[in-house]
Amino acid sequence: MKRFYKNTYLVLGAVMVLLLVGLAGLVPALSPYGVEQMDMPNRFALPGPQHWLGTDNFGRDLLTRLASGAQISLFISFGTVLVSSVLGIGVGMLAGYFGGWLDAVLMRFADIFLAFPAFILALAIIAVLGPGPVNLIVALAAVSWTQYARVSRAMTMTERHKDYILAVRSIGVSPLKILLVHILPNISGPLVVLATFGMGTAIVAESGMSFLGLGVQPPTPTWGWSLAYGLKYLRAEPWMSTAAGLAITFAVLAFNLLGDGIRDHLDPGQVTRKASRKAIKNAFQSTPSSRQTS
Amino acid sequence: MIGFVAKRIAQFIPMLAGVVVVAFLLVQLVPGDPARALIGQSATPEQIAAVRQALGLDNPPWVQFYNYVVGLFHGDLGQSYFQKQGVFELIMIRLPATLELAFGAIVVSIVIGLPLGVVAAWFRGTWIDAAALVFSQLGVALTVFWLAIVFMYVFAVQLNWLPAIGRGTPLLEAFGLLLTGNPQPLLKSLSHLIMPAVAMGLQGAAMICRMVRASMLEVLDQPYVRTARAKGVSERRVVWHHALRNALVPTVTIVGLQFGGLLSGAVLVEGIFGWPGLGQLTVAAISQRDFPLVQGLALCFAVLFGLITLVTDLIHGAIDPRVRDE
Repeated sequence: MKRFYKNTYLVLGAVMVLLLVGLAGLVPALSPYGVEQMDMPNRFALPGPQHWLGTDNFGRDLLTRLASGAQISLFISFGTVLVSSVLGIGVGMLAGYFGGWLDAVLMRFADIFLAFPAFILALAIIAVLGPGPVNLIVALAAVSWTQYARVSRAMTMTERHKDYILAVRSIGVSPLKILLVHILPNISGPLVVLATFGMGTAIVAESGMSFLGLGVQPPTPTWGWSLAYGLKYLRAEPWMSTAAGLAITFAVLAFNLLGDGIRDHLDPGQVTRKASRKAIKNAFQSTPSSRQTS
Repeated sequence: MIGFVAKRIAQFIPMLAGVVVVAFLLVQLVPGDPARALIGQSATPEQIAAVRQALGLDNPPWVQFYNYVVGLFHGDLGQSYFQKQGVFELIMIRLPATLELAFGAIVVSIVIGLPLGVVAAWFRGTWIDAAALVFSQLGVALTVFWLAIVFMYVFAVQLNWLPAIGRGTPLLEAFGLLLTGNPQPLLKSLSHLIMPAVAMGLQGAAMICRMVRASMLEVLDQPYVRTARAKGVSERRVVWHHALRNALVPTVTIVGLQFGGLLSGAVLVEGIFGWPGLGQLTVAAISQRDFPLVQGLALCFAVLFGLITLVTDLIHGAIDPRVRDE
C-alpha cells in the first residue's frame, strides 16, 4: 500500500478516473436540470453558482450534458476495451500456445488489420455498418484487438515453455484449462496496462467519430458532438466547445496516467533498477553542473 | 543491406494483397443493393438491373474481384457515385494537400519533440525534465480536433494573426516562386499551414519527446559514453554527438508509426480548417455513403501507410546495422 501512495501516476490517475466515474454516475442523478431541459432566458450563461459550467444556446445546463456525455464515452470505451481484449487475448493465446499453421494464419489475419491506419479503418467500417453505439464498439474493437493479440501471443509463447506448464501438461490438463487457469493469470499484468491505455485511445476515437457526426447520433450529448456543435458558436461562446474539449483531455489523461501508474506498480524492478543506476552514477560521477564545465 | 531491402519489399507485397482483399470485401459487406443506393428508391426493377449490369454487379463475386484487381493495375478504382468522376482522379487531386499537411506535422513534431527529449534527458530530475514530462503527458491527451479549434479561436478569431481556413499556393509551387524572387506566396502558404500542422504535430512531438528522453537515458548509461566522458569529451558533445545518434534510432520508428495517426488526424482537422485534402473527401464520402470512394480512400490510406512504414524500416536498417542482421 505504501508503494501505491509513492506512485504519483497511479494515485493521480486513480483519483482522476474516480472523478470521471463520479461525474458520469452522480451528476445526472443529483443535478436539478434535465439533460434536454431548456431555459431560453438563461441561454449562453457563464459558469456561476446556478450553472457550474454555464449553459448552451438553448439554456441547457452544460455540466449535466457533459456528465451525460461522460456516461456515453465511458460506455463506448469500456465496451470497446472489453470486446477487443477478449477477442485479442483469445486469438493471441491460441496462436502463441499452439504455434504452427494456426499461429501463421491468425497473425497474418491480424497483420491485415494493422495495415490500415486504425481510425481510417474504423471509419470505413462505420461507413458500411452505419453509425450507432453498438456499431461504434464493433468498429473500434475491430481496429484495436490486434494489440492484445500481439502482446498475449508473445507472452504465451514465453510462458508455454516454463516448467510449471510442462508439469500441468504432463498430468493431462486440457489445453483450454491450461490457457485460462494457468497462463492467463500470469500474463494478465501487461494486458491490464494495455487495456487501461486502450480506454484512453477509445475515448479519443469515440469523440472523433462523434465530432464527425459518425458516432452516437444527436440529440445524445456526446463530447465529440458537443465540440462540433459548439464550433458554430465559437466566435460568441467559445466556452461551449472548451468544456467538451477539456472533458475529453481530462478523461484521456486520467486513463493514460493510470496506465503508466499500473505499469510502474507491476514492474517495480524498473523503478529499483533506475534507483540503483542512479546510485551507481552518483557514486562515480560529479554533479551535472561541474560536468558541463569539464 | 540489399538482402534486407529485398526482404522488406517482399514483406510489403502480401500486405498489399491483404489490403486489396479487405477493401474489396468492405463494399461487398454493405447491406442493401449498391445499384438501388445509386439511383434511388423509386427506380424500377429494369433500371436497377441495367445499373447492376453496367457496374458489373450481376457477376459472381470472384469475377467482380478479378475485375477489381485488373482495374487496380490500370489505375482504375471505380467511379464515385455522387461526384461523377473517377475515384483515382478524385484522390490524386487531393493527395498533395494531405501530404503537405502530414509533412508539415512531421516537421513540427520533430522540431519540438527531439530537442525537448534531449534536453529533458540531459537535465534529468530538474524542472526542465518535469516540464517536458508534463508536455509529453498533455500532448498525448490533447485531441487534435480540440487543439485545432483552440488554435483557431486564439490565433484566427481573437488575435487575427493567421487565416482561419483554406490553403495557400501548394508548398512546392511556392518554393519555386521563392526562387524567382517572390517570397509572398510561400509566406502565405506557411501562414495557412502552420495551425493545422501544429495541431496535428503536437501529439507526435509528445511521443517523440518521451521516446528520445527514454532512449537517451538508456544510452547515457552505456560504457562507451562513460569512455567518451573519461577521455575528456565535453558534455555537450557527449550528449549531442555520441548519445543522440543512437537514441535517434527508435525515433525514426515513431515517426513512421505516427504517420498513420497523421492520416487519421487529417480526417478530423481538414474539415475545421477547410483544407482541401483527402480527409475532407473521406468524411464526405462516408456521409454520402459513396462506397467506391470510401473503398478507394481506404486503399489509398493503407498503401500510403504501408509505404511510409517500409521507408522508415529501410532508414532504420540504414542507420542501425543490428536491425539488418536480424
